[in-house]
Amino acid sequence: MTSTSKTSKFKVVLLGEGCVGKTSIVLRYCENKFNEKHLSTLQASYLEKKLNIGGKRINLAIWDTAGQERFHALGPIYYRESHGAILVYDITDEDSFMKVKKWVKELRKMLGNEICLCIVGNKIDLEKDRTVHVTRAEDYAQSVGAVHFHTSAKMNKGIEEVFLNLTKRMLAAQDDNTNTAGKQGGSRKSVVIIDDEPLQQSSGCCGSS
Amino acid sequence: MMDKIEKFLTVSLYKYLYNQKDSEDQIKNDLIKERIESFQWITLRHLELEVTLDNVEVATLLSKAIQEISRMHSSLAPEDKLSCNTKCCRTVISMLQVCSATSVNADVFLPALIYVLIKANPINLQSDIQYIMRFTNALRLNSGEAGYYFTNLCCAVAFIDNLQADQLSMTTEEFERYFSVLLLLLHEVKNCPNIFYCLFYGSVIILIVVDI
Repeated sequence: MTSTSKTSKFKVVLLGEGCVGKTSIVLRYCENKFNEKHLSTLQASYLEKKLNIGGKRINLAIWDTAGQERFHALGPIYYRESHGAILVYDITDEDSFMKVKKWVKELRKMLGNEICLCIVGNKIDLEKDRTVHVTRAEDYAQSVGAVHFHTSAKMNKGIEEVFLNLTKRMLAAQDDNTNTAGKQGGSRKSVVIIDDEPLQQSSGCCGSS
Repeated sequence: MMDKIEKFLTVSLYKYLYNQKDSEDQIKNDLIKERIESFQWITLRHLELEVTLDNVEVATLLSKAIQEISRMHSSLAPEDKLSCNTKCCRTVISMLQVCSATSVNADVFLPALIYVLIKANPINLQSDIQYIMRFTNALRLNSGEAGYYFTNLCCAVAFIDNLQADQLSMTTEEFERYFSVLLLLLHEVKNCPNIFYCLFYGSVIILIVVDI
């Protein structure tokens, strides 16, 4: 198999309410910038980041999603075919944590255990105003099969770890898939044929017309 | 190579592949068009966007974005239609970059795209979206910048399709008033030859009546 020499492409959706700092996190990670003057010239809705982990080349495509309540119903359109999700809340804002729980439920319902989740409590530079307790958040993350992180985009703390952990888990999930599916070489181009499955699946081919 | 084959086949077979008359897509096209027409009163404020249209650069970029998305229906290959949408979205981002003091994220990008879509009201929107989904390499639609922008287009259409008052920071009463008055007006305009032209500017309706 040539899978080791291929670049793995992963789609990661970024979820979080307006003021939790999700944009700061992703800009800090991809551009290493925070609150600078020329930040306004950057666009943070779609970003790519190239990584190399243990000799494997990885290309992360980070899809920002509109976090306002009015756009909540559109979530599933964004999640389609995602490999990972980063859910951001503000440790000083209980509501933003409740919102994360809502998204987790939806993601699990739609994509099952296939999707790797990271829950991120941002703004630890404001620790004194914390309203979401550490153990509660961590216990919750564990109960839904997610990994919990604390970050501060302002102080550039913990951000690298979030993306590294998520990428490693997505790689592991991809390898698992390759092993179980046998023929699937990690690339979504390949077609998996399951012989003992009588259900006809539409393959995205033009057969229907 | 696959892309070239895809382009060649779809362009040569365009009239068979694209939108048959009286198809479900065609019906949906008309429904969306009419629905968007009835939402012409929506302003940037309703979408909580802080975009100043007085700025010449902003206004120019807005009309450029509207042009780009309106061009989608006249392209033949799905790839070219997709690229019209990408160009439109990039222009929307440039427009937001002019107005915004912070970086442009999805929280401002999606509402701005919705606004552009409402103002452009492109024809055969449903057919174009379905055509792209059916005849583009699925890999391209789920990854890459073009895929991201296409997903946002689908989101914008879905949003308009299900639009309710509480999503526009206004009361249900206000919303229904606007909506019903406009539907009525549109109907009148269609049936009355005296009304020469009907313009919507923000929440003001201008009727040009010709006496015949």
